Amino acid sequence: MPQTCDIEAIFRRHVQTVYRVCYSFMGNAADAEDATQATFMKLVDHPRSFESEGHEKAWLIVCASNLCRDLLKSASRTRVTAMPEQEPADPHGTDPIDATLDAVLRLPEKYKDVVYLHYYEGYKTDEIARMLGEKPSTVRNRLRDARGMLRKSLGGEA
Amino acid sequence: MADTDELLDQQVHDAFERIELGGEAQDMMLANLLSAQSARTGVDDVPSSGDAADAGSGADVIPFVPRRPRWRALLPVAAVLVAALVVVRIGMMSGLGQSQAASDAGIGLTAMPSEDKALVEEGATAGASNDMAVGDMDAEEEFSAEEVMLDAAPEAATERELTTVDLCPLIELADGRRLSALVDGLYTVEVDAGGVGESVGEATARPFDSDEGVACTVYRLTDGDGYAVQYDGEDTFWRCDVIDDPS
Repeated sequence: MPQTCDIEAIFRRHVQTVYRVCYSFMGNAADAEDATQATFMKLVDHPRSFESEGHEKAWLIVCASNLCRDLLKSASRTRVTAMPEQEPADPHGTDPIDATLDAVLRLPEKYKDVVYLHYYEGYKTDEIARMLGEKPSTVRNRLRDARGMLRKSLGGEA
Repeated sequence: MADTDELLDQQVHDAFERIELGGEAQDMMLANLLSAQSARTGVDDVPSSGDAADAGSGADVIPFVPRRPRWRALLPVAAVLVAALVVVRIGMMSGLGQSQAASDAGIGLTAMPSEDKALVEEGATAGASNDMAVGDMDAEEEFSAEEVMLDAAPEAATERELTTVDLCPLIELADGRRLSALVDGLYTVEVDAGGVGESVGEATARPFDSDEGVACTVYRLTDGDGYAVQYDGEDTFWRCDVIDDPS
């Protein structure tokens, strides 16, 4: 029984996808990089086989989203009140920030994976629901709410 | 409105498109992953990140060290400042007590009353224990950060140790039917033994990308459609569905 998987091939196929998911949650390049590496490290620690590349990608997206949620939860537990709140992104840094991305990063956590999966990956509502273990109606509502929030944040731009 | 929606869709898509991981970071990450993988396959026990370097893959080994968030990097500095303030405050209090006692007793400052000496000693002890607490807190913080990055579970399905069902989800019956233990292609679902009915037959389970497999038995579920698989030598039943039926 194989105990390893071709981590290099999987990494090359999906690293940008995983990084985008992590960035949308963590809001800055440094934390997104750490979370991306930790996601792939899960596969190194627990090798597994996948039905297809689509399955592989879906697993990594769900794994990355959940890992980022855990990291954010852990960070909020240990955050000291005297410390400044982390900004979603540094507008003067090297992060690829703009008004639309800023609006996406400022969305509440529960909308982020849904927005990414729908807007960027082009998954259908039912597919997203299956991936995240949610009802299709929940996904539809989240997308509708997220769209409303984005439209409001972007003002007349969209 | 439709145009506005399309515009918004496009804007969000383009925003995600601009998020890109640089080539250098990719190379570094891949090197870390390959090092960790070779270290893990080279020894029986799964080594910690530090052991990865010791296990030695022959290549340059870069241990996986998660980067600390910026605000967290300030914690030790803040802790030291707090400790310093406590020490200064205690020092001031003991100095005040000392001058008060000197003035009351009409003696020189060098002749310190015994209770003030005790106070100063207590202050020094408090300072020392405070330093220790700061050190402990820092160590604990480091540990939890490391633990979070290495062990944070993305969800229940990946939290538990991987078992046969994770590695061999494709099941082949003797009559050519193929079943998958991945419900919706993603998840494994445990089935209560009470819901398992008659045996359909012995089968072979294997990964999707390998012919090497393990023996198992497929059962019909008592309520409705669907099947359950039990891997040889294991007690658990897992839900599985037919994905290919040549008949």
